[in-house]
Amino acid sequence: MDALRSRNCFDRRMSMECYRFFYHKKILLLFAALFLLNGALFLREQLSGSSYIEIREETDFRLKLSEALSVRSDTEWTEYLAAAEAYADSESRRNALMEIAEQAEYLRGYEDYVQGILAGAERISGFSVFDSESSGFSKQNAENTVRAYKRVEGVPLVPGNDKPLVRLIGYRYLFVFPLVMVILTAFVMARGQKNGMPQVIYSTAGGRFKLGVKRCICLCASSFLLHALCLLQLCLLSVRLYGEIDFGRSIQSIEMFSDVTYCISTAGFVFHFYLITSFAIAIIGVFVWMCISLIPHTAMAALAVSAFLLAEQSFAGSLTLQHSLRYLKYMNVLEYLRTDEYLFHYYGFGIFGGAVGLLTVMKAGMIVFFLLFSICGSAAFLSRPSGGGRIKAIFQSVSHFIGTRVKSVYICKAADKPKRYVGKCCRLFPAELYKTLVCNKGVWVLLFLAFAASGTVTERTRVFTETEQYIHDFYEKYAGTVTEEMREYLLSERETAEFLVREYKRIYELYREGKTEKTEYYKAEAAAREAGIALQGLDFIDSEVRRADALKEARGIQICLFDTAGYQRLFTEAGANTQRKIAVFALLSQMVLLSGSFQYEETSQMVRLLRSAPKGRTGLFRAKRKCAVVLSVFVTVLFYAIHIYAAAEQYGLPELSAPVQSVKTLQDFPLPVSLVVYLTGINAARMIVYALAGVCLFQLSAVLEQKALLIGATMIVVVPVLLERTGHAVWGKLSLFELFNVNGIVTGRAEPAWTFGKLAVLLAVLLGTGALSRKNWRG
Amino acid sequence: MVIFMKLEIKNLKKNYGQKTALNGVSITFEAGIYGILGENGAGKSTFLNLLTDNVARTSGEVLSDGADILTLGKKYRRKLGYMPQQQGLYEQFTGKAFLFYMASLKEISLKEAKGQIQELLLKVNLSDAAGKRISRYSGGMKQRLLLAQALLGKPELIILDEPTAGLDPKERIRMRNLITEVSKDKIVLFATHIVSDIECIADYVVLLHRGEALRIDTPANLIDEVKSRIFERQCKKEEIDEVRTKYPYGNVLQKRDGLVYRIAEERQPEGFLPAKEDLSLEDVYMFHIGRKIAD
Repeated sequence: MDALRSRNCFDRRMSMECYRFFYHKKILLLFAALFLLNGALFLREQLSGSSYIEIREETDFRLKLSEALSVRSDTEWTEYLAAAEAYADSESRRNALMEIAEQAEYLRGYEDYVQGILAGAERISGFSVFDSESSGFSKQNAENTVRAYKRVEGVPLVPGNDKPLVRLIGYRYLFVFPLVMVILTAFVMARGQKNGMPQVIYSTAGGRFKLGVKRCICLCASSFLLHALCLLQLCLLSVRLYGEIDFGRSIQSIEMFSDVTYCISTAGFVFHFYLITSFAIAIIGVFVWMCISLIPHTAMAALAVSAFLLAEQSFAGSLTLQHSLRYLKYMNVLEYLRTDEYLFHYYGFGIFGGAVGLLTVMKAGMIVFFLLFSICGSAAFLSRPSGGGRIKAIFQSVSHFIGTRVKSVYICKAADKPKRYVGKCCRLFPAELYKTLVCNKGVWVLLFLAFAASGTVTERTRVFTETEQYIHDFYEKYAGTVTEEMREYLLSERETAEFLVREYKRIYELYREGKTEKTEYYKAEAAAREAGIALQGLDFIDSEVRRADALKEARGIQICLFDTAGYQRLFTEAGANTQRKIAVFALLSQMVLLSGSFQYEETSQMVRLLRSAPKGRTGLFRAKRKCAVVLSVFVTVLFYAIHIYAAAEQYGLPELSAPVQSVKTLQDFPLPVSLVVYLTGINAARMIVYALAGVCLFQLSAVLEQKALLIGATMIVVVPVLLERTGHAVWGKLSLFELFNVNGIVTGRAEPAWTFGKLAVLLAVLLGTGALSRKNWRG
Repeated sequence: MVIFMKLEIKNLKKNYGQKTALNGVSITFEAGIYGILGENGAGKSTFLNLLTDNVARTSGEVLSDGADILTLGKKYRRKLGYMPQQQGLYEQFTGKAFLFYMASLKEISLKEAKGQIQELLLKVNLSDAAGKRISRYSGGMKQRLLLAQALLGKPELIILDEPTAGLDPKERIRMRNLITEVSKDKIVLFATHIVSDIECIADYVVLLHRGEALRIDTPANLIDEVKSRIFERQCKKEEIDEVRTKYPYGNVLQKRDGLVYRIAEERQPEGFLPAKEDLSLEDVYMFHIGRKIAD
């Protein structure tokens, strides 16, 4: 009966632990966001070089080819692939054909490869020099290698669709998101170290070692579950892009896994991979949990975790298999996630003079680490929560020593100077900035969004076509106003190019008549090809010269010729996608920073105290509004600086003092200002619009709850943009993005009536919410 | 001649929907310490919130030197120092930074604020902890900090809502001593349900029950009023439950001779004798409020 009761209690406690964690709505939302981000990043990585349509076309063609190969013998493959070339009429099909051809070559050569390794290993193990004691590792390693590869001798290989699995395993952030989620889980589990809960739990019957074990189990289960969900998500996306995976084939059928030395199907290997990597993630999660359990101060625990992981990272990155300190590389929690070395290949690891397979060493190390961390973490529950207890006491005294020493030697000295300014910094307006950026963690939000923005607006390396390269080279030499020297150069280039084209035609006739050598013909053909590219480039440049002449004549504006790609990304439709992304990030930052302005006072329970002070009503409201304006301006400067920097880095922003009409799409701009003035003016106008929006958000935060405001504001801004993609232009007119972007208004792309209408709505909201919010706050 | 502030409350009412939180309270406050005593839900916090204009009144007047506080607005709030019940503080601020912030809200110049804050930190014994973040303060330290900010600007009217809530005996004594020290020539209103706090320092007691002011008088007068209506009976431990079923609001006291069960009644009940010793505000509370709650 007691045993049954005990078991029932254990099960109930297990489910309560899970409930305690999963009931946390914010955590679940965060995890959902991380899942979405994981999927989005995966798609972004896959779609970076090609569009979805191109990938699907390639996939369909590849599937047809691999299906056809699988029903043919390998001797028929070459003939089939040669015939398939006729159908490879697009780049994506050609890529698919190339991949299948490479696959066919690999499959045919696999057995020879294995035999080659076996022969080499047998030869090495036969050398008499390795019979001596000191060479135990080499002989043993050779013998182990032979044993390993003998297992896969003659394994049947089948052509199939490799790409989905290869892309999945090769995804850069494959383990990042499950790892982040598991670490968050560990921190959430350790939540409640304050508020007297540890004392209450410690005093209960099941609140010590058993609780530690139970939490460890929960954490491990979470690791496996979260990793499974992430893998499943990515697998489904990969299948959608690249077609279905044939799980029945032997894993060696895929070239990436050619060195896997045990007979296993693809399904079995993927499952094995999942188990090992989930276990590796669980080890890191348990390690983090152990640190938090042992070190009372969360910040110190986080520091200890970071320091340990950094050290592990440096060992893993700098040491090699042959290094004398190789144990630090392979007995390494981060190395367990680098599966390509120990799981996809066979290596021998020297240990006590002998050789053991690296996979065996890694698995043993994982078990050792897991037991060590889980026992230490569980044992932390044995010690008294406050003071007392050996394990915790040791860590507490160490962390206290480091904390006070660092503080007394460095931080106190550094903090002395600013203390003099405490009074000034705590006046209303600076205090509001402090509350928003520090107390409300606004600075972290800004940093994160700025980092995300800089990542998304960074485009892939600019690739020039040959004509574009010619034009670019011309601009490198002759950027600036149209001069006589430039005109002469263009004329001479044109003459040269036309001559080469004529020459080619002449030599072609001679070659046809057999009056000249092939080499001469090829030379002339190459030269004519170059000349053709030059002529295309010259046509473009000449059109620009004519435009410059026309503008000078009509309006007296002397424009410059240069590579305007950077400015086009900043101002025109060419960079609309990036402009939109920047606007999204800037708006999102504003919303997050400002929507909780008044709610923070509610959650701090300061409202009554503030309202009872002389300046706690109107005075404080004004200070908050000033803060909203300043932050809005700062956000604009930050994100648009990122935008400008990205454009400058990618494309360059030359000739800043050139007239704005130098950019073709801006040639009708009425004012004769330089590009730098235009850039400044656009951004100043943006600042005003963002400041107005910021004040609106701030005022609405006095009337609405933060969540409701965030959701409402997001819907108003984002939904019309999404609906515009359905093809209905009216949604684009309703969208507020043009208002924030300002470019469309200046260039005339946006219709004035709609623009003024939207501005009027913004002003009406501003005025309306102003009165309401003041009244609400004053009470 | 120094003229001290006068606060008049005339027929003050506050309704929350159908529920009446305050029902026509009329009191005049002059310099001195007033303890507002009542059970949970009596209307103490509502009363104080009305005085600090944190809550809109349904009807009635609150006059500061003859002028309504709603009309006075900022001028009234300059004279006011308020310590709320909830320990609402910015945890990320240091103690000193918080006081400077409150000083700027109270329109105290920087120079003046520096002097006052230094003095107040010394008074509330937080000088050493002033540079630490409020998140690291104990409950007692937070209460002292709240008191310090209430005293910024040398207010004439100090309103303290449950100033000793959650404090240990030593901290409570310290808090009471501080209140006594700062109350000279000021109106100090402090709301509490801890009788001993009022006994120790209040010049006057306002008994609030279900939104009504039952009595306003000095503690001595209130005790005198009820001393003939307090009765007690010696009981064994086993008998307490039986007595309690008949008189559920009573008080169990440990005396030298054993346990004594004390009650408050208009007439002497059978088996009970008049209580002659150790009469206190608790008995006043029991007579005016405890019985009514039990009913």
